[in-house]
Amino acid sequence: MTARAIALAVALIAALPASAGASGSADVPLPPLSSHVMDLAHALTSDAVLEIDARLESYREQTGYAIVAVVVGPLGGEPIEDFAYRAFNTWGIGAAKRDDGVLLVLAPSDRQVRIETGKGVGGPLTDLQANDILKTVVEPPLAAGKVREAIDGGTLAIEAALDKELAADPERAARLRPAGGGSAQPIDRGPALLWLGGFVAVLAVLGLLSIKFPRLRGVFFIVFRILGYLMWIFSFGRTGGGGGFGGGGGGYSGGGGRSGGGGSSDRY
Amino acid sequence: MLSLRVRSLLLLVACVLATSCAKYDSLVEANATCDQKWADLDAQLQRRYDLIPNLVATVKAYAKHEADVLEQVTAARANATQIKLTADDLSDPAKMAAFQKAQDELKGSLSRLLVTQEQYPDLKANQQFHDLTVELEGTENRLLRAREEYNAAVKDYNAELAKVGGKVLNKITGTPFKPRVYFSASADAQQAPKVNFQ
Repeated sequence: MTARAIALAVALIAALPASAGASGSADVPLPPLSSHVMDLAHALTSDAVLEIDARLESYREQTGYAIVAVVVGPLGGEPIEDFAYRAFNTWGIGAAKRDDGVLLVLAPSDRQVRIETGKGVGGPLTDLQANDILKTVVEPPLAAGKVREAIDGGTLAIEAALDKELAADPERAARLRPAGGGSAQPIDRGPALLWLGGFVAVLAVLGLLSIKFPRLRGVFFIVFRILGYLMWIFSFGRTGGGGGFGGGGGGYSGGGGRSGGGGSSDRY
Repeated sequence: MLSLRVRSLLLLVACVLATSCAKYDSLVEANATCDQKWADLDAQLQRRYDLIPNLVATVKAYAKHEADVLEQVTAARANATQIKLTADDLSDPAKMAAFQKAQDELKGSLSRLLVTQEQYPDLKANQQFHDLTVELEGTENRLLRAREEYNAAVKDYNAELAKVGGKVLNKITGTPFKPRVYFSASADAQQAPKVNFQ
């Protein structure tokens, strides 16, 4: 009985690293999403990354559609469809409920490309259109080694396809404008004001109480100070949270959008 | 006035009721997620059914010698569409196995059909054929993801149901929950039909 148990344990332990190694080595590691252009293969200059990022950032602010491009090194046997799906959903491209993200994947070392569409973009950007974009504007420059041109062409073509949908659906544009106007995450001032009002009310009550019960004034004063500190910390946190936008520069960390495997891939 | 013992007993009953209600709700939730994922999957299967007649018609125009393959695809599609699964069938291993077999056959015959295009340059160059294969590829990939998501949802649901709490609750309430069967595909059907235009 124990011999069997030991044999089983040995078999299990022996199997563990093998399976872990197999899945670990096959998949390209994904750094956290920090920009609209993720250059994992170091194929672009930092200026190019910043420029494309800024353009895609302003497009996202205007239309809500999140377009992200990724240049990846050798895929190591992982199908580009799997990589694209994994990257899309790990990064959460597009807004959570709308799932309106698009991911352009370039794998020059494997001579493969893919456009992965979010669940909410399958209509505006069909698989056929995605395939057409890959063939006509992404692959020719990429075959000539021009990664930047491929990304510019591809993302602009994706924008054009989505623009057509926007023109046909003015409601979407109208829905987005108030929400996505100036910054990526509009700061909701409602709760902050409510908190502030609450603090003021409590302070007023404390003040009145200290007039009525002069003997307890010391205790009220301590509570008063603590509340004051809390309020100061609180308001500081609020205003601090708003920073980081408004610089004009891009940067993107995803919005929780999901893909259901839509899009198209191609080899060139 | 109730005695202490009765009161503590009542409290205990209330606690048990509250937790089992929560458990019941979480099972209902997991079951609903499975249903929703299955609906997504079903939509992609339907899309595949819809594409096939067009594909067959297009290939037929160029590859008259492939009558066998074309017939197989049509027959496999007819066979697969005939199997209609109700909600209860998703917990029936035999029915799910028959359904999977029909889907695997359809996929296999589709792959064979797409391979034949290699021998027909005219077909390869045909725009409509190209469009149909791109759409089919997209559908196959969506289908693969929908299946993964369905199986993940089934795993959560089955696990919840197999845990002691879920098991006991299911028994007490008259087994309204049944473990679901995974929609896994055979090894060769995992390979999506791939067409490469050079």
